[in-house]
Amino acid sequence: MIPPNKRYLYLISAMTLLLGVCFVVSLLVGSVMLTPQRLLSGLFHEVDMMVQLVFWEIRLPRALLGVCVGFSLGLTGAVMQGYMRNPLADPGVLGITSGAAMGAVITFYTGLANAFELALPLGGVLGGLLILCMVVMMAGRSASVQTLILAGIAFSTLAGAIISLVLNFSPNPHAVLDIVFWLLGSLKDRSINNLYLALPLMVPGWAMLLYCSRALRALTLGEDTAASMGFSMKQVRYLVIVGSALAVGPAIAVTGSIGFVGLVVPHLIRPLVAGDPGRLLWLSGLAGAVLLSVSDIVVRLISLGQELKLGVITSLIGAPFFFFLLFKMRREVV
Amino acid sequence: MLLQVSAFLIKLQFLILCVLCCCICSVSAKPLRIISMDPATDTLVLQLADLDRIVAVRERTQDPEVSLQWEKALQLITLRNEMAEEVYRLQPDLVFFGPWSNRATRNLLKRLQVPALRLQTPKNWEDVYANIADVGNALGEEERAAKMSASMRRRLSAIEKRLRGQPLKRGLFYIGRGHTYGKNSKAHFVMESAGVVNIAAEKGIVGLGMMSIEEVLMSAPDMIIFSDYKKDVPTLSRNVLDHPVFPHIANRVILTEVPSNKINMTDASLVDCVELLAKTLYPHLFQDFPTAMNNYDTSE
Amino acid sequence: MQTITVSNLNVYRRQRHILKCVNVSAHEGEVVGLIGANGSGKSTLLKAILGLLPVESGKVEIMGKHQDTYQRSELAKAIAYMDQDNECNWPLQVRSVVELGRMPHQAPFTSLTDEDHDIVNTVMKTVCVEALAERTLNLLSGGEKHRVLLARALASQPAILLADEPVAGLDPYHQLHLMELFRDQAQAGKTIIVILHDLTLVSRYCDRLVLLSEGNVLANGEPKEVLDTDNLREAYGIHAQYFENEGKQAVIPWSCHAHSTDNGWKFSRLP
Repeated sequence: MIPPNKRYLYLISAMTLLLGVCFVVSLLVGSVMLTPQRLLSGLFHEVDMMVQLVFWEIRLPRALLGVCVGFSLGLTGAVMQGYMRNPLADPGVLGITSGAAMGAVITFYTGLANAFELALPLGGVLGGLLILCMVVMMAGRSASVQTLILAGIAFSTLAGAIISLVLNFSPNPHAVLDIVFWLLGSLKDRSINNLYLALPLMVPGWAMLLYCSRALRALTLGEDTAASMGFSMKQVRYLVIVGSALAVGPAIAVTGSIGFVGLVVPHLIRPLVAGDPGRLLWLSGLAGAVLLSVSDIVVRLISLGQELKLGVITSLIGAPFFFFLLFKMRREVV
Repeated sequence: MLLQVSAFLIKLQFLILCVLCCCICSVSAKPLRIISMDPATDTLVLQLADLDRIVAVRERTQDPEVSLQWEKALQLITLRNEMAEEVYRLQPDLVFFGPWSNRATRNLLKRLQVPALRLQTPKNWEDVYANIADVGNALGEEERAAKMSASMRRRLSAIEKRLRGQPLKRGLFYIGRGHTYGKNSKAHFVMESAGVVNIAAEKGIVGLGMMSIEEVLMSAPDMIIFSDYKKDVPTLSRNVLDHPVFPHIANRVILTEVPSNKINMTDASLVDCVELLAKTLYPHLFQDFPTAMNNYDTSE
Repeated sequence: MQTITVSNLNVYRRQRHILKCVNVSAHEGEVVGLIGANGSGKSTLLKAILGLLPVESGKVEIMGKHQDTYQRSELAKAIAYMDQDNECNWPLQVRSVVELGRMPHQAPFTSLTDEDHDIVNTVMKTVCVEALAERTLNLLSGGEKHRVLLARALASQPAILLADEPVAGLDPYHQLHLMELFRDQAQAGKTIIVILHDLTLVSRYCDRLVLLSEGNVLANGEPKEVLDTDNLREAYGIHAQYFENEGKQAVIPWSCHAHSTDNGWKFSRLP
């Protein structure tokens, strides 16, 4: 029997290693087949400029974004589930994702993001924050699963409607087609600039969420017990809400809505850490990054003439999982 | 031979249509209340028919970025949507539809026995000439139409003569969201006439297709042609074109823009595009060509 | 030593006056039973002592110092709390649950020290749950679960233990077992305040009782004095039968006054 502390360190190292492998594979996979030799020789010889550009300007930003966005989604999912003590909580189900997309759409199509670049991720943060606050206010903190999901659905739908409204007002008739991107995100043709925009907001968000790990562990025994153990529930609520918006908002603003990662990942990890909601956080973040990187590799390997949207893959995995969870919960209630 | 036959058949069809139209509406051979429902046909009709015979065009045609005939369009009634009731209320005696027109509207107007002509997207220059001739016939302006086509043929053959025997360069059209045009597209035959080998067609793309930035870079193009359509209005479709990788290759690849109010038309503007591309790609051959270049702005 | 002193405490929740000028105190080594009808303010009083609720007026002193002067973490080290709602939301192992009790002593981003592990082991032995260490809490029986939660509370080595209905839903054996564990802890010098509804258990195991009725302290003293006929009628609206054994009183609720002729509490409430 390995002591839990050591086991945790092993898991973290194993997950990091796995993520490293996914990252490298992600660099090797693209719409053009480049052998690792060609890639390597291209990187170190000035002559093959196109290979260099493909590597530095296209594949590297894409792989990095996949890791960062996946980490954000996995981590936020774990924190939301721990905080709400609700296994169905997730940034998508609770509407943060749609809210962030709405905020980003508003700043992008009104031209605000052109005037001031940071407006795009900030829009994502504010949109996510707005919807999350409304859901939490409507449903209350210890709300039942049903209330929470219904509130999430209601606000997601509202945000979706506002997105299409804004797109319809754009003077460019092609803008309406952009809705596909905002509803089903993608990492295609993103650039390193997107990462530079998102990271400065995402990193403080991660820090806030990771800081909650002790409080989330204490919350296992309910809010009053956690408070009696010296945790300020007000502070935790603030950290969770603002941290989630900061982590997810910019991610969604540069990639569009990518659903279900935050829902699936904590469930896969929870048995490994024997249910500990604190230890779940780092591992869920890393596993989210792995899941998103793998999905993005799959998206690039399946060639259907036109690249599949990343959000399609995550939803194809996530939606049946969601049904499975609902079914399991229903069985437990009966 | 086959082409001529098909062109003849279309003309024959038209003749019948015109006859029908005469019988039903009992007006003179020349229609006087013309409505056009697509920016490309609008632009053609505005060039071939006198303004007082035209009742309405599409609203977008008033936009200088959409049509070079926008000033004329400003004086007309405009249609925002393709609603049949909107059209019928204006009592047209001839309606032009574009290739992407609304089927329900077409069917309804047909049942109301409004004479109509639907133009197809041209797949080659002969289709363009046939479209121009069809519109000319329908309008009763055969002479103007023939003049337009003849001038286009003359300008194209001049370009062809200069390009003969030259080693050809490779390029592709790259428009929003990573779309590109392969065989059987307007962009394809325009490029062909400008002496550009279409990389998208080489890859087997027919009509509209997709290429990722990675594929574009690795296909070693000499020229990438962008569209300037609404480049200042933020849409995600521009994200691909504004990707920071393009300024990096600006010193090795010619990045150029074609005006969208020319490349989307079915008239002499297409030849303007050919001249533009030819002059951009082979400056030494076309020094004396007057057309101004429209260079891609690499400075963000 | 007086470890808890509550004086003139008034608490409102949602505009309702829950605690009305309450004065309560508790000493080292004492088991204080907090009793009263549902909604009489027992849980509110415990939460007020824990500092979880905003206090309208009055003061709470812990170990002679005003509650407000404590840091949250300091207070968490001094007082442990067993919630009435003994949910455990995730499938945690018993040992992990008990380890949660060490959190007030743990700095952020550190793991448990050897000393922490020793304390956890000792506590688990004290409440007889060491055999369950690897089991999942939610799959345990009620009695086992309550003992584990007690171990969690004791693991923070508090001077004061507040327990809200710790024996609810347990069979007689486990009720007695848990109460004996509380007694042992008091013997070891802790102050224990426990909310109970079983009047016999209360009079058997508590040194002193505080009877709350509609937010007022109706009686405060030895079980025998507090559990007299008048108080029970006043506070619960019941009539009880009394038995005596080994010098301790057993109080058995016998009939409901609301149905008897001399009018139940529902109709004869004092102004």
